[in-house]
Amino acid sequence: MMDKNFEPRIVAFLCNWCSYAGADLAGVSRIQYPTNVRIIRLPCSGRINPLYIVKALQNGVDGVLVSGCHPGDCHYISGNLVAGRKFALLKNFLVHLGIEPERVQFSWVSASEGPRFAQIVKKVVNEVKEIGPIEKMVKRL
Amino acid sequence: MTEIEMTDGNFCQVIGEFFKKLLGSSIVEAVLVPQEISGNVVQSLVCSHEKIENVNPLAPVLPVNSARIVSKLTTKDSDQKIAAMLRPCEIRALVELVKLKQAKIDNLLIVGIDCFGTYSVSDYVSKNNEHNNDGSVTIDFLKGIQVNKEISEIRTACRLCHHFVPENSDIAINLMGRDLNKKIVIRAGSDEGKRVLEELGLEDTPESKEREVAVEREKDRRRKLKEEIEKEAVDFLQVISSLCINCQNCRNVCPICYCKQCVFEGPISEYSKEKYLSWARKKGLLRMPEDILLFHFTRMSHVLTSCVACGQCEAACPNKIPLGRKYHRLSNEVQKMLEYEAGRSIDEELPLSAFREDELEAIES
Repeated sequence: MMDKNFEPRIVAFLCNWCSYAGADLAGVSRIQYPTNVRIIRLPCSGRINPLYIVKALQNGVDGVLVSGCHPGDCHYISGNLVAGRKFALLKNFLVHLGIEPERVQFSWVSASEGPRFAQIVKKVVNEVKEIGPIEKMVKRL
Repeated sequence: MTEIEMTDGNFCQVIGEFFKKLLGSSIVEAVLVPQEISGNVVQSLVCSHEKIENVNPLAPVLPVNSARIVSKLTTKDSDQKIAAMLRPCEIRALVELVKLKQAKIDNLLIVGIDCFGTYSVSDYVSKNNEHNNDGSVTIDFLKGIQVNKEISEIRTACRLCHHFVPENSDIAINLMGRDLNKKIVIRAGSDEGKRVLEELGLEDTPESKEREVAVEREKDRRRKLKEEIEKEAVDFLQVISSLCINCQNCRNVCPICYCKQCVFEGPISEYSKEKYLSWARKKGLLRMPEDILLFHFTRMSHVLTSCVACGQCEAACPNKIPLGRKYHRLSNEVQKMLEYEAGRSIDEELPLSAFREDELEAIES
């Protein structure tokens, strides 16, 4: 049975130059978005080790959002492009091992896209609410 | 193609003769060949041709993936040439190691061979003991294969394998579609191989139709077998949780796991008692050791792009976790997604060190 009052915990890994600034803009512009996200700032989406995502899920986080600069806009020129395949690889085998694809999401948000950031957070939170709390990896692992 | 008639002795002796000839010709300094040593067959680096005594590349056993051995022999620069007798999965792992800059093949002559699958070392050794090490295990195995007998002891990784014909070899020993009692066929797979065969005085003749037919038939048979095996659903996370003892044998034998010091040998999962207690409190219980899942996921994200599904991880697992089957499946999926195939070509770029600017949008979800 789905708990109606389930409030998922989402960890968002944001790159310093685009997505974190985008989240900042959403806040400064007073755009409302769900409070379920815990934001962790990193220098670049290329700095995100897939291990962080696994570790977060294993410790009971219901979903992970990774966000970096749009393709071509990376502060370090190709950090997000290099990260892209790493993420795709991780998601591919997590899904094959039975983790719902909604729990690991990637998006690209620029510093000027405050409203877009809020909208993505809303979408992720709603999707994770729909599938319920993470059990597969937390229960015994 | 060179056909060597079986005038005297068996095919192992004929292949042994070929290596003696190779070693005698001074084309190579040494050869790496599998030889029988008290009931098992292991790789040996041979410099003197009298020591080529018990060559048996057809024994259905693969104690280690020899790509690791070749890596050990070739990472440091040297202009001494050696020849190595490798199975198809070993060649494919070697191709990946070359791309990962962990081996060099400039001064290596790769001799490949058709592979009919292997037993686990313990199965092979105990069968051999039953037959007093008289070599009949290999012969019985090949006889069984030739009449399409279902041999249940063949490792799952081998049953699932569809790369049983050597690719990227300089010289290939062809067995499929031949009567092994009559002749052995040796073909050149590269210009270098052609040159070597010429130097040894072995002439080249074209590929035969029978072989193509036999290879296709075998591919078909394995495809069906694969579908059957994949039907058995295994909840991998549950299996790991209950069976993994964190011995990390899978990492130690993996030809692709090449790091000199693994991240899991460091203090990455050393925490204070308070930390463990806080996790246990949060979840109600904490499975110990707690980092096995992280270990397996890290290994997957490191090796899946280059995994050749040789199944050594499964063979080394003391608790028989079906790692080989899982890695076969997952690496297939991952490599398909990245339009890559481990071991296919030495010129293809490793998928994680390359990118296309237009593909990032597709990852967004």
